[in-house]
Amino acid sequence: MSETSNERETLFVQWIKAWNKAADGFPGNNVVLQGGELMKQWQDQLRKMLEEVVRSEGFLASMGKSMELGHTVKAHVEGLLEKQLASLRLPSLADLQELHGKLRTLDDRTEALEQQLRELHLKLDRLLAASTTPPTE
Amino acid sequence: MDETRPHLLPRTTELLPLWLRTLTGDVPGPAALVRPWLGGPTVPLAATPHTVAYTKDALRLLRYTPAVPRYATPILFVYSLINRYKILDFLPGRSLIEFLVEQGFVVYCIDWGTPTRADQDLTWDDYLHRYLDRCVQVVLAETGSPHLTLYGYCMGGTMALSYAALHPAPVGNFVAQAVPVDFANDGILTRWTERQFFNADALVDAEGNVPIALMESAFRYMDPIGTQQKWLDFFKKIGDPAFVETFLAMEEWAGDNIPFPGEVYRQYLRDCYQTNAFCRGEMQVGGRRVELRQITCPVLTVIADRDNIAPPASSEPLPRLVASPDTATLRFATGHVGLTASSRARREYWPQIVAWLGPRSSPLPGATTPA
Repeated sequence: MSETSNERETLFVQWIKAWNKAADGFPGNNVVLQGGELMKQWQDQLRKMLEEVVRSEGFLASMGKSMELGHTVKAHVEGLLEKQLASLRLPSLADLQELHGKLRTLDDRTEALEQQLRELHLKLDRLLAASTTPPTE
Repeated sequence: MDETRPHLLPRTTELLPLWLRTLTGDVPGPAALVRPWLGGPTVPLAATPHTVAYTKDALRLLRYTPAVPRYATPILFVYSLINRYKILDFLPGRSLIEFLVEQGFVVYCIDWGTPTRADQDLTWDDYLHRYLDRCVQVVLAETGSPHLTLYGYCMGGTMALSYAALHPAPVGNFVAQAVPVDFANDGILTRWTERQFFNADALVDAEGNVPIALMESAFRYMDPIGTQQKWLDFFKKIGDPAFVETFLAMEEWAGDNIPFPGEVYRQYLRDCYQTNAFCRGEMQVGGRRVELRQITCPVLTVIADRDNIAPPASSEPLPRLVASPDTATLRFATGHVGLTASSRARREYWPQIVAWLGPRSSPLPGATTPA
């Protein structure tokens, strides 16, 4: 954006700027429009009210209940789907996750083996270096 | 479209895919919709030069090497699982990682990647011992340093604290930036996650991972007016290119979230928010108790006064909970993200963090440390 100049400015930006300029010239701007005292007071009141609402027991209880219900239904549907896939002898998400878990374990073991091999190489290098170093008097 | 004035209107090829995404319900953040209308180049997030030191599954360990190294003790950033690490390397000139690299620190940062449904059964124990511990070992092996500085941010700080409590030996220093510790005092999030209202088990059982939309709507509910007001402010300041760029970059980061791994979320909610077991030293990870008093290294707590995700009251107790004789707290008059991305951060906040960290990091032989 640092390269933006008047000639590269999009119509969109020019339009917004013109709108802002017109709003600045509006006599009631400092009282009514955004940034104005009236707007600020209204926003503060609305903020306080919403903060109270989202902390209130009634709101949280009903929100919690509806979320829990939605999740329970979804879990139930997924469970049924798993059963259907199993009856059709098709792999389900649970099967894939189990397979993924096994691959993860295999990956961990391979990485541990790689690490041990690296350490063994380092030890061998050190031993080799020690055996080829001429004895000092 | 008038080909001689290519920047006047966004190209249909740019907007059409975005509109199609809104039709399918995969709604991009407002920043992605507004960006094509503004024209001009985009400054990419996370632009500090780096290489990948290690990968495992979706995780990448990123390495940032200074041009003039001054410290032998490397820094390892542990970021939250809620969104991406890129806020730590926000924009050129506004990047915490870039700043630390300029000071001569070798910096590593964990990019957790995007968890899929196949990762939903990964636990807190997996994240500490399959991932974080491996990253610590890689950093120590690469740098040859016996210790490192663990730099935890937000929920990543909570994870890093539990790692440091279980494995104190390699941790030379700990920086806890905007890290919730006492979850009984975590403000609106503590209220929302009370067991009587919120059933985390039902959520994880149904969804696997916590969907992005749910996390994002929770953050929007934290400040519903501010979410709308910031766009009005944006259009008021549309003639200020620097403001526009920073605003859109922030919106792009904030809208680029990842699903929260299900089993980690289940334990996080239960042991942190709902029972506060983490703070009381009763959280169990891999069959071991996480006791913060096992941490004896120097600890710096960085607090944002206007933080509503990790409110000051939730971070303040950390120095009292660890057994370290060397603790300090820095408080700044900003918000949660302001610690890492505000224009004041580079001028005022980060130099104070480096002033604490520098003397506690081993200097490289022959290196000159800044006064």
